[in-house]
Amino acid sequence: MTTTTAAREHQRDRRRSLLLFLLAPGAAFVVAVGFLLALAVWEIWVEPSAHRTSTLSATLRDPDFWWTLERTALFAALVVPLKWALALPLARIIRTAPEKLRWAFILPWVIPPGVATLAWFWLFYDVGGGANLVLAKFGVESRAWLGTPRSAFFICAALNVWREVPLWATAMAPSISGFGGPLEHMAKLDGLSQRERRRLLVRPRLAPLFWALCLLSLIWSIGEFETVWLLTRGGPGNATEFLSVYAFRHAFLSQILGRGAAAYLVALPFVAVSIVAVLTMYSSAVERART
Amino acid sequence: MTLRRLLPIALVLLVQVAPLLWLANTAIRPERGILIADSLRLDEPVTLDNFKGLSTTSFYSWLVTSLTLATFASATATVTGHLFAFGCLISRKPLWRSVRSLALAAYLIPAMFLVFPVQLLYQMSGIRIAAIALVIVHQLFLFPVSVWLASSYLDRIPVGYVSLGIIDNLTPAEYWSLLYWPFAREALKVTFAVTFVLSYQEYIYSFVLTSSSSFITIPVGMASLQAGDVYQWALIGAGGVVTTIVSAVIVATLSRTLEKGIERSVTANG
Repeated sequence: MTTTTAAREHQRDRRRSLLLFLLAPGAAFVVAVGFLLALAVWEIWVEPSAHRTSTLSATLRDPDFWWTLERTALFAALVVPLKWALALPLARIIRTAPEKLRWAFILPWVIPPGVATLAWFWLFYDVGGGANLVLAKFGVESRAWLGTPRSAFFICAALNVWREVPLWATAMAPSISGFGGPLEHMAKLDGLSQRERRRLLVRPRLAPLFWALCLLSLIWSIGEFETVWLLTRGGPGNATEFLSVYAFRHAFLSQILGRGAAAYLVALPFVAVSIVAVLTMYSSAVERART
Repeated sequence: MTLRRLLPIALVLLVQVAPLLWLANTAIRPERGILIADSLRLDEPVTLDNFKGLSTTSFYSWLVTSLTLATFASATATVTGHLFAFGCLISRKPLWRSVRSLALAAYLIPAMFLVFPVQLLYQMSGIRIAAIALVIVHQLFLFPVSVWLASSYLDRIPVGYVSLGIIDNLTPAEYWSLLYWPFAREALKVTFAVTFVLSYQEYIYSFVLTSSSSFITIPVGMASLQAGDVYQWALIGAGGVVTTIVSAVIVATLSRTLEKGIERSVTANG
């Protein structure tokens, strides 16, 4: 009996050690991130801005910040629907493409954003850039593509969409593979119109995927830095100064780390509301797809 | 394959790669007169001098740095993420599911926000950021992805198997070989592929934290060719082509694995 109890104790200890070994990385990660977040908040509270007001109130009182927030929201609101609109047709094309060629569709996402951005920068450069050369071929006057606020904004959006649509399409391609298969055939036999088939077969299947991609795209759009920084540095004026560029400029160029962190802290409620809304839509789409 | 099917594929691919083709055209033309505004310069001779010119910069060392950093960072994230996901599965305690959710939620924190406290730690500690430190910092965004992907595969392990494992008092080696490995083989490849690509393209942490000129990654290095008012277009073009070829090799090799990883990462756990 004692031997059995001892053996059971030993096995329990072994299992506990195994679990400790397996779970330690996750626990360490969560603690580390929590520490970093606490440090960011501490930095906001202890570091006064140049005008002797708190970092947080300096951010709240800065009209540039609110314009930046609005611009970031507009950017996200523009790129997410565009990606959805382009991704589904591209997913269909990817499904029909030879398998050996499919990797080429995802290339814009895989190459480092800096390289892709430099390619676009050169494409839209004022002198000798590809876009102006094409215009010249048709006798149209050259444009300062990146020197005009509106066109710079839309080029940033176009670059963001160009990079991420292949990702969306690659994620969606397997989900649409069932369309045209036996289920679709049965639906046709039952006399369902194409619109009805789309509503009953296509949308429920794609809805969870759509909301998951929306969430990722929302986070990435809000945090978009590299492409904007390399393309326009937030200009012309501050036409493309999104939240990450604003935070970077204050934190590292003005050397007030707290202002950078404060920008995100103030934006947090707005971002959180958007994320919660998308997550709610995602959960209900998953429930509907299950039923 | 009919022309009707081939045409949309060709058109889409052209739009996808057009900016890269433009960069490539610059890379194989002479540097002289590169800003001629009235010609696409297709009649100019093709030259590889710009690729040779890359060796006058530190481009090839940036490339090696990026690939090495991505390999180690993604290997670390893959191993730790899988260990944790497996641990959450066999632990069966709600607490660890919550910790897993917190780890996944960390991915929602924008990188630009986390870079401030990391930079602050760097300033306070006085330690120069080295390769190992950057591998650790990359875990901030790679670990959640790894846990997410690992969970999407390991959650398929029937709960009954785990219970039987506890009843049978499996040794760690048996947990590994009987429970984990059959479900994780593909997951490991997928996790490594996706985290490798994410680490390879990472810019913010490398840009802000790299203080040593001997440890610059491709994204940061390429951006430095654009510094100030001088744009070394020919070198940028050549560097862009080499980087794209490396990326193309990576994606062509890992194509099926990346596709599965991307599909899993957006549909998993739903």
